[in-house]
Amino acid sequence: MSIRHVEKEIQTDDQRDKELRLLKTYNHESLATFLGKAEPLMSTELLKNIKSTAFDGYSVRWDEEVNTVSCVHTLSHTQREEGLSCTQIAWNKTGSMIGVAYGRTAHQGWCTHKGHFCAWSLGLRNVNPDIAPFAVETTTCLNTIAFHPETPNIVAGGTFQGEVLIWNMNEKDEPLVMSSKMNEFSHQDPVMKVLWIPGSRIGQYDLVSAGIDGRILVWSPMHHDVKLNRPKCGGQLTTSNIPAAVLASFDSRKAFALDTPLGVCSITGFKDDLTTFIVGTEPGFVLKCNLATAPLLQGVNQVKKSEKEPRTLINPIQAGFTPNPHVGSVRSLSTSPFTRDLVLSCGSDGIIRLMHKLKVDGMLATWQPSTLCAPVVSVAWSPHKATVFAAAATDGNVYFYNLSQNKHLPVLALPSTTASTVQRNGSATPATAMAFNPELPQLVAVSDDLGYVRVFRIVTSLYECDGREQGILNRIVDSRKKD
Amino acid sequence: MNNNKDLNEMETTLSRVQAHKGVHGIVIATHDGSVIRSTLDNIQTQQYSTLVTQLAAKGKGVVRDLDPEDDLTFLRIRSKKHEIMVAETKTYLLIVIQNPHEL
Repeated sequence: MSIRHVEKEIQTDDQRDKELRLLKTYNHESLATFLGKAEPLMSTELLKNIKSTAFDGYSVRWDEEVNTVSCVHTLSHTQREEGLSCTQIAWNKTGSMIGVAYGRTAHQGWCTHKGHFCAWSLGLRNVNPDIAPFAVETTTCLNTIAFHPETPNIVAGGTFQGEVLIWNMNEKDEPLVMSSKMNEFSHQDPVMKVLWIPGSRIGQYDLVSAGIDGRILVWSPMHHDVKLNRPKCGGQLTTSNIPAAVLASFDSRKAFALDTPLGVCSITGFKDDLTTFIVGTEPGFVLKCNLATAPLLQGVNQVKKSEKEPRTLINPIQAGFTPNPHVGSVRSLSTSPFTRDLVLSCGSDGIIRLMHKLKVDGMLATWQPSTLCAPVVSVAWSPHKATVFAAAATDGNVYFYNLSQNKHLPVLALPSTTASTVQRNGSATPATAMAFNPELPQLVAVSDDLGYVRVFRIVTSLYECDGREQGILNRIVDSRKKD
Repeated sequence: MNNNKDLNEMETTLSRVQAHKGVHGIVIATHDGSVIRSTLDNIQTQQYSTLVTQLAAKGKGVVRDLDPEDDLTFLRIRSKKHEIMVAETKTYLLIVIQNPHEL
């Protein structure tokens, strides 16, 4: 099966937004009398509910409660180059497939390794943990991957050399369908994160990539003329554009006197605000960026007069979070799937911060999971329970927080390695990435530095909701307002 | 003119109900599932109107079968996340969704 590109004009009326026709012809009087009788009855019941203690402490368990964590799968693609660790793991949209990016986490100079992208289908009965049913080698280390939100067989990846790649897993012969070309607008340094965002048309998605060269680029790979040849638009972060308020609290300001690119280590977007991004940088700044004003870099059919419009990468920085959230690179960012303005960040200083998109002066909360202050390399909100999030640290543990139970300490510290694979010198293997399964709330995947991916079944209290989560998050957001 | 006055009354009634703590949404529907007024989005309104009218009809059948002189006055379904309350008469249903944990 090969990819066919078809240009189609369709009406804006799509399946998801069916017209709801309200009943207009009814007897107004009878409705009024009905409401007159029903409303007092309803109001009494509503008030009774609010005051009632009848259901306090009453909870029903439909599923079996699980109180222990168990390791369901241990996967490692043995046919890859030696010494590679997992740089990122991701689940596809249906939660049936797990994708792993292999690469080295530390490079001395130029990258001479060959990275790998592997995917296992965990829904099948016979899962071969040593050989991935889908495995593709990349020319250099693979840093990041992202599954397409709608089409489960399309995956995007970013490499150490600054290439952005797209694979179609259904193409057995040549899965690599697109790769970005090296030009003045593409990435010159390693790509640290790729993510899909909804594009201009319904059902179409654009790809955002962020790299150490300080560039945030938006690509339209589904546009069959351009694919990944040129980014659609983009922004360039430079040290001269760092907001003064952010630099004011930074000690060594002299380091930012020159106009050099500001390396981006992590990026996260918002579902309801497609042009705003929160960006984590190498020195530890967390900046709010906006690409709405970025001019289009493509333009095969541009009229002559628009040549006057400069085709450049703009400065996207809108504001910076103060005081500086981290000392050292911001390794990972995550937007809450429930409360749309909450963002978690974690960094090499071993600290996790909770920030609000609209309040840049001050953090809502801070956590330090590891007693050794081990760098926290990955943080993610649970897609199932609004008050749960997890963070993977280099001390080998994945720390789970449940704000419904304990607002300050992790409720679970899960070692990413089992006893049999502890390193010879006795120290635990660093955890490198983690991902919640979007469809099956009980599964969480964790990867470590040795290249193993483990899928764990976590305790019920970390994914069962009881309706109180949103209230707890709202209270955390509001408590900051009192300061 | 009469219609306007009734519409206003309906709006004030709705706002009275909405004012209670934890009320997520209100749907006024008829027994065949058509919606007269709703404060929820389209998809949710469709779901609530079809599913709840069916359940209310079943509940009414249960009460009548147990005692033909009795009739359903109020139906409440409490779930982990919220409570659905239904007040109905021969022609209309008033459906209110409340989250009793939001205090």
